Amino acid sequence: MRTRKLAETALLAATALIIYIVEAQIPSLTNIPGIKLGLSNTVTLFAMYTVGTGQAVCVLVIRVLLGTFATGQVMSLIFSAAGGTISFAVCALLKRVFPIRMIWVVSIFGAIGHNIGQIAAAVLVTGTWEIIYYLPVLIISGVFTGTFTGLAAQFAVKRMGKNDC
Amino acid sequence: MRKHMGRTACLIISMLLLLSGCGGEGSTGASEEFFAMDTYMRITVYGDDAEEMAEEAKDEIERIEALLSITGESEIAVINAEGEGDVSDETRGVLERAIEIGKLTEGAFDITIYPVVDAWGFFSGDYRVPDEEEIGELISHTGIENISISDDNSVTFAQQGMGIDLGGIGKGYAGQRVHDLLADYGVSSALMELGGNVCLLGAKPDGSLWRVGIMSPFDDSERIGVIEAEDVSIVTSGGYQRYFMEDGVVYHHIIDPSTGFPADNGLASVTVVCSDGLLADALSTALFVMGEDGACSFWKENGGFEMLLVTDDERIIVSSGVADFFQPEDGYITEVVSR
Amino acid sequence: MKLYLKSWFWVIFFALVCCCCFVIYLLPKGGNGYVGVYQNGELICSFDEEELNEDRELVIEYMGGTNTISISEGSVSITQASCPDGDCVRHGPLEPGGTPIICLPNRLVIKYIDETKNDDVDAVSGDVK
Repeated sequence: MRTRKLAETALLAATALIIYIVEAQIPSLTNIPGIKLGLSNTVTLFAMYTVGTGQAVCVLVIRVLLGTFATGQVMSLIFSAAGGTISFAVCALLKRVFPIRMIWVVSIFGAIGHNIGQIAAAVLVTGTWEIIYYLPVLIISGVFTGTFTGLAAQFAVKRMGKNDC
Repeated sequence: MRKHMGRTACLIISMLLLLSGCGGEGSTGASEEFFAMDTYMRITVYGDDAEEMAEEAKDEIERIEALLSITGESEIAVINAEGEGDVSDETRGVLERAIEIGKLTEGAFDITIYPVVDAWGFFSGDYRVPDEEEIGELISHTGIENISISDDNSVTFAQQGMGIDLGGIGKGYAGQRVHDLLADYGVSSALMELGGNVCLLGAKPDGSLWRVGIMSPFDDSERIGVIEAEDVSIVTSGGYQRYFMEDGVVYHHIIDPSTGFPADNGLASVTVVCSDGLLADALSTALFVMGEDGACSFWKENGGFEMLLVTDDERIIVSSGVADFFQPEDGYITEVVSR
Repeated sequence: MKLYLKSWFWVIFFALVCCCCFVIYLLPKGGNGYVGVYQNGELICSFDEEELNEDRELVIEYMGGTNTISISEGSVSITQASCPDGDCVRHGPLEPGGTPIICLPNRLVIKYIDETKNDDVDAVSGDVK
């Protein structure tokens, strides 16, 4: 059983990492280095709905740490951690309310939370509250990326189900 | 389901309200801008009937100008032309105060310096440098002790060739009159800018202090700092305000009554903060004539006003009562004098 | 039948959120002609409209990193940055009402500022013009 969990977590973390690294190549929306769309949230959501919240945390932590090493930006560790934590907290809470066919809603809130977390971190790091000007853009982008990652996670969960993983 | 719809609607409505709330805020003021007393004036009144009040204020200033100016048919112009004349109670009051301040400042403020200033051309604009002999002759006909006011409001000069000019207090007096008039009407916030004299009625409409910049005597596009105040007059006098050059020498309009020449006692400008506009106006001139040491000791001996001196070598000296309300611009260091 | 389990409800909800955000984004963002350069949240220099018309370049250093700020034809932009991503360079010129230029690695922010808040006076004493 433990081996199975280990394998699941490793597989999911690897997938998340790949998405994360690919995402790092997409030009940023904001002119603020380190702030990302949060596409790897697909995997976190998938993990949450299939293998459970506990393992999903592991996937997230591994992805954030390894992702920082892979892209080589210390700054992005702060943003990834801030965005990832808030996003995860939001998703974990909403998961209790929303069934699988509504994962996309959970995902959008998660994505918005992810972006708010990153903005908050950027404001704290630079001491410049003007960064909040990017918030409307990031909320809109959160809605779109959230829908996209949410639907992806939703289909994946439906197709693969709990036992096929 | 109804409940959810309600909440969503509330959310959307409150968002819209937030957005619309970013517009301008209330507190309307009305301004009157006009030329009077040989300068540009602007009076801004806040509160109910602001427009009407600003109009009243303008009328009051024009009334005072007709009373005190040295031109036209004013009571003062008649006395200067005839050597004697009858005055109204109001003009008498202003004259008496001018004489009183003249005594207090030991002649540093002198309304009888008029013929000397006239000889320099500061009234006509035909500037010239009179020779020492001419000034000596003119200055012998000055001195407030040579004015006598009888009980029936008749003013006479003790000597021939005398004249008086209330220009050094006219704007200050006008500002104070308008201040009192508006206060009587129940106005609680107004700003009177009378050609460089600033008179404040109450605080700003939002209750905060007015911010009054103090012009730099060295550069007319700069300020030396800002004074925050309420319900006072802030008057600045400096040689930079009117001057002419001849043979490379600058001659400014503040004539030292003791010499007949432009005051040259190390000060570039003097700002006086005082709840009496007339006193503020007169003292700004008097302290300029006295120079740094004279002004400081005058302030120590006499209460009732605060001052800010700018010296020719760009130092700022503020009296302790205004020091906390003065913010100098970058690069200026202030010295505080205390009693 | 719970409303929050209906897809159409969320579609409308997020559409409204997007609209609101878009409107907020279009709102003018403070400032009145002064451009301020901030490092670590502190104003290190500012330019008024007159100074913006003098073309020049200046290099700002931070912990070994540099940014070159260039002022030309009345607009400010970062033309060189020591950091690898160069997002601040890609931002292009600073526009009134637009987003600020931010260089996170060098803790640099360039934005329009509201100088009047601190500097504006109600009247000037001694101004006889």
